[in-house]
Amino acid sequence: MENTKIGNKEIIALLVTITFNQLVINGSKAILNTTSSASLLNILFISIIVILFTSAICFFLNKFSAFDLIDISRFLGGNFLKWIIGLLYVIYFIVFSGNLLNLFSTCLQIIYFPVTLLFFIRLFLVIGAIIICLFKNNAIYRSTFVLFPILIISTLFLFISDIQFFNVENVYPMFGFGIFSTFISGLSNLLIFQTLAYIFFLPPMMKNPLEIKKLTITSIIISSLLILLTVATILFTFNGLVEIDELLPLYSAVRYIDYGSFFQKMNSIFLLIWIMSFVSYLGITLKFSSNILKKLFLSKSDSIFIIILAILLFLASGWQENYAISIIFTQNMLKWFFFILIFGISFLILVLAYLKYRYKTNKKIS
Amino acid sequence: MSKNAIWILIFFILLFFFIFGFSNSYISRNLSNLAYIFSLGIDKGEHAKFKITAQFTKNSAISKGNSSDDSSNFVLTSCEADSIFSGINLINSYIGREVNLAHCSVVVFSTEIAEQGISEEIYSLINNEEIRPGANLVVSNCSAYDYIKNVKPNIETLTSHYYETFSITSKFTGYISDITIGNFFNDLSSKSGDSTAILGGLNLTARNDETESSNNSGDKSSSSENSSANESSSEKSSESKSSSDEGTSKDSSNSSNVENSSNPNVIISQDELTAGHSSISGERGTENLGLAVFKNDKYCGDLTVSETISHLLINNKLNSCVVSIDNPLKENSKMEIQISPEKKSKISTKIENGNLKINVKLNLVADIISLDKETDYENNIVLEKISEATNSYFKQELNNYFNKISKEYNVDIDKFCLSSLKYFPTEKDFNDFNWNEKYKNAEFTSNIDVNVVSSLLVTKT
Repeated sequence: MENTKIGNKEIIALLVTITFNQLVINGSKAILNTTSSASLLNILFISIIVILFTSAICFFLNKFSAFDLIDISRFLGGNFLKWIIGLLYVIYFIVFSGNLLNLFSTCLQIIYFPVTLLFFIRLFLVIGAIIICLFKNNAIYRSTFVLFPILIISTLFLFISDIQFFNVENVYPMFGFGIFSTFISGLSNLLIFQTLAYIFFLPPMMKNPLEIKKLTITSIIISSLLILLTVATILFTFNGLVEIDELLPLYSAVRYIDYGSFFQKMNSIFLLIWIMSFVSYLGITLKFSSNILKKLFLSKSDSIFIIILAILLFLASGWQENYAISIIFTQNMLKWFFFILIFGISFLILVLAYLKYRYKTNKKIS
Repeated sequence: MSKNAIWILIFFILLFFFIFGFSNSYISRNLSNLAYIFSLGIDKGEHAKFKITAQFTKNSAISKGNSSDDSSNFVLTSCEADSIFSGINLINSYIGREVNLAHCSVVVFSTEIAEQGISEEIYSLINNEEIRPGANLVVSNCSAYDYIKNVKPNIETLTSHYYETFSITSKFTGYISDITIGNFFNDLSSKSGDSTAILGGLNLTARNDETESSNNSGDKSSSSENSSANESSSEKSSESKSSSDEGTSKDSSNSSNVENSSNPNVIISQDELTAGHSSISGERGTENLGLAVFKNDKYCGDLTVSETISHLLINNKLNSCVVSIDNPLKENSKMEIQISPEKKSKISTKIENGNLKINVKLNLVADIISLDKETDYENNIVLEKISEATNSYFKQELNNYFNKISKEYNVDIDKFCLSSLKYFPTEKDFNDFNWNEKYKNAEFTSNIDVNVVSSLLVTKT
């Protein structure tokens, strides 16, 4: 019999992996661009907001035990709302990860495969994700868990290796572009915590659904530390008040690692880790999306959904003409999609469902 | 057909698909198809904007590690083009392999090019994935072609190993700083300071050789006008000589002054010594002494070796070095002191009434190297006298250094700006302060604490 429940460690690993990919591909760049020298302050600020928001989500999810957002939507608004929310999330997951796939494969093409068509690189990553998803016994979550320490160690290694280039004074001016950009427009950096979208669907997959708060908060704290370390590496390595925008700032920081003539070009190892981590991320997205469709269609198997969603994901990564369009699309469309769906609609559903639940419980008692 | 057979079929289809898709990248990056550049030189071109020089090492030389005649293992190729990468493309077509910059250890710009600004070239190089940010950046006061041509390893087995010594040399001599194109790019892309590059030039042997060859080529010029190699050598040697005559690399463009170059001036004093003026003779024809200073992306002057020591001390990039100070125990004589930082330097800035005050604190520990007869170097009074003399030497050196960088060049190569950023809550406040203008009139002070420990093995003479 297939083991479909995820253990506590795997949950932390998968949630951190989701944020990590966002961080590597365009999260660190977005933070530095919007808040400059106030990046670290901004990360602390948004981390606190995310922890508070996650606590609130977990509070509501705990009231419904092993229900996910789809079940809660059904409880609140019947099948109609269930289908609307389910489809919105599937679209969100596929479009967002498709866009990220485009960004990442463009970077890979520039760095390592200059004469390979983008089509092959995207296909390679998607097929990797399909294979890992189709394996049984939660192979996707287990492999993510195996990769998780490597992500942590590589980030620490990068930070320690680049310390020799650090200039801690780059943290000044304290408020970067200003207080407004640090604390108000800097809120757009919440986008880096893609993990939030996945938390809503965790309870039915967990071995211990009641521990969701502890696990998600732990993963948010680990993710925040990773973001802090990574952005600090870039901020301290490159001089403050930088006016240049780079394709992958983290990759630029990695290129500085030098341990004499024996360990050169360590960027290749980092890129390999990032590729594996990105395939894991795509796999997690496909798995979550297929779980939603499985629930909507009341199907027993998710294999067919994985393949269909992978095709859609591949298509969603191919329409952008170039890298710049992907970035603009993220900033102008996906950002709002994220805020409206996660902070708006989903949270509202949880609150309303909780009120309905309270109302029904009180009615029963009375 | 069984389920397993379908999966195997799918596997092979995918395998074939990816072999087809990724083989192009593999073939283009195959080792046997690549030619690795070890150093890249950029001069002003005669017919185009740049003259690009690329130094390759033959593959056999790498595998054998043969140093018996390293110059025969070189392939030096140059061409003229309007950009670095179109030049490399041209070289590509000549070499017949794909030129790769992954092992490029040094990028050399001639002062003539550097004066015009090199931001476009640096951005283009950093934009290239192959080149490592750790490649050193040299500005040579001879032509880049001559610099690269004269690089021959002395003790090292390979030229590439010689390039790797740049970072080590800077730490125990203080005569150069280990500047890489990555450092230069960072400085260039930020508003918080100016940049420097290693100052390179030809040593005495190479300068003499160049003078001889330029005289010879001058005699033969009427009969061998179409010999492009000689033409290039003649032109470049006259450039390098003119720069040594004037004592400043800015004059390297004045290539007509050949007759003066037959007697290259040699500078001994640390206070004036820069690359291209030393008394060093040796088989390797190049030397790196001092730093080339940039205002934004334009080369604006040099730092002598003693100024470079001050710069490295302020930036905590020096392990130890030897300086020559006035001997406090004997009039009209010098004594050599080996100094090393005891603690990290501290830069503090204050803004008083809109004026900038910059203070640098150095804590140094010193050992006496040159000894006099009949002096007790264990005597505390003697040590104190030497400490005071060393102290006043560095005070004077730092004053000269501050004057040069702020008043003369108006460059902030020590990133003093960063230590003042804490006074500005936002970037707008900093921009409104008009740092560049205030820096020009900044008041510099220095607190130097030198602790002369002792002489080395001999304590009393």
